[in-house]
Amino acid sequence: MRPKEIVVVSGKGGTGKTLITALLASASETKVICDCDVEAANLHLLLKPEEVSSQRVRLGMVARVDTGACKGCGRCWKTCRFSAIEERNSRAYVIPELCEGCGVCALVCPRPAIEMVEEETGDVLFGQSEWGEILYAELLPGRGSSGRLVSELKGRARKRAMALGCSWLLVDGPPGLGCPVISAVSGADVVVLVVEASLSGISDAQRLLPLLRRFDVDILGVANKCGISEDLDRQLEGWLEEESIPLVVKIPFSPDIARLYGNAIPPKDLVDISALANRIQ
Amino acid sequence: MAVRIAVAGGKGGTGKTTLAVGLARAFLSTGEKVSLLDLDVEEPNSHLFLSDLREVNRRQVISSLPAVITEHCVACGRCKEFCHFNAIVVFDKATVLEEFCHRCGGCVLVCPERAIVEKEVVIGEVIKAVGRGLELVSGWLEVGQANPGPVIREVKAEQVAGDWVVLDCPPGSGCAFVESVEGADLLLGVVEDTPFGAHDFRKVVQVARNAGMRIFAVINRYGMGNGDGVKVCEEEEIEILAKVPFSEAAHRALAQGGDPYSVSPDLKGILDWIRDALLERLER
Repeated sequence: MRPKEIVVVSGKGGTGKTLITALLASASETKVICDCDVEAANLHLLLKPEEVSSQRVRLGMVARVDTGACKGCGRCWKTCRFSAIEERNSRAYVIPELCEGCGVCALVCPRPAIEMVEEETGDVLFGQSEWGEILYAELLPGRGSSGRLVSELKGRARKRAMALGCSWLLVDGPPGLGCPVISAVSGADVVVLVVEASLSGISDAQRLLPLLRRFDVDILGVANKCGISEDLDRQLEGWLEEESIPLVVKIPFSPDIARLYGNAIPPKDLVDISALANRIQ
Repeated sequence: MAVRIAVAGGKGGTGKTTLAVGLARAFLSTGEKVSLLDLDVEEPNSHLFLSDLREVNRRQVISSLPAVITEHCVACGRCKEFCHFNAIVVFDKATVLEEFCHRCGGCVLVCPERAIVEKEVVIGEVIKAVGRGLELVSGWLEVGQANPGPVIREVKAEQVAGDWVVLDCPPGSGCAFVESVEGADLLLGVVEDTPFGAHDFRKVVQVARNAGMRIFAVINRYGMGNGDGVKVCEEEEIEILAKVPFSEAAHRALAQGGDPYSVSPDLKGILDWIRDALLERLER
């Protein structure tokens, strides 16, 4: 049977996605855990997997200029949509961080002096933690293909979960609402929307929701860092109700939770998310 | 020449927006001209902490998306073959899969029948607002659009008046972050003093080092975590300009949209300190 895919997102960063993913992992029996925040992977620091194996993956392309062959005609830098080619010393110069690997420069070059070469994207890592198998990835800093790395990682995690006959594939999502988030949410059965009880937390979740609605998923709400102001709590709860999103767990703002977390200790005894685990089951 | 300060952190929620807005206010208080650019175009938040601004300009960010003129398409498949993003499928005619398309324009160039044209689509907005001497330019990626890069570029291209330009950068260490810090004079890292903050800041440092940028750090939530944030700065030989203690009171005030420069005398003092340190380091 296909495992149930649960993806934790929030829009804003630092709202408690990783914490909630870790606690969910501890609350379920059979699962594979996957950290899709490939630009800033943190779940492994909390779950501390052992015997981690790592594999370098190449998912993108990058343009390479043969400066000997280049005559500096400028067609490439005039055509590039990503400002990834500049003129330097009357020759084309590729800024690899900005290159999306589309190949248009190589297409328009009359010489030809530009070749598209495979680019290393990052590492996919795999390890065994106390609470289940974990897969995560580290994008090489500055690489442009984080969305593709997320898809690759999730594909592998799905296969692993199938092979093990897991009931859950648990995914810690990236912040924002762009390409990596779209890749992380695509294929999910359940999305856990973590809303931080702050002005920015609520505002960011509100912006993310229309994107989540495009997917055929059940959305469950978790409110984190509550109790700072009655006004904010009311605003958060009122919005979820309006949107018919069930508020399954409410976690108070607590310096004790923050301190444990800040030392990479999952605050199991301070946060009860069994209601969320039951709801997903 | 204006000085461009990129406030970044890697990890989300480390205090980037708090520091960016607070630092802009701190410069303003000494009579400096300041512009603040919110480059976290997926989830822009700077405006939430600047309630007294007045919108003065709003413009759309337009990008082009290929469209197939089906009468002209002979289903030769060249476009599909060329597309590095698997954004075109061909059955009896070519079809563009919008969510995969990177708008490189390659399919238009390779089509021998001129059956692919580009139509304009709105992919975001740039909003400029002013108030109390401060100028804020925010970018807003249209929800559902995958690529924040063009919107970030448009925000950065906006003419601004400040001698100090503070860039509130997105989290992460990928393309959005790279676009944001490109061209900045220095990177001011906001590092959460936890294993997570340290791990993610390391990646940011690598990108900034490759770009040859000067890097300074501010440790946030000092005393809450295990000290890894401080450790990573020492290992990377990055000067720590200030350590901001973990404060429940500050968290409460900022969660409600308080102006970082006004919520507490302690935080104001720290922001002034960081401003003065930057002035001194840059010999201004």
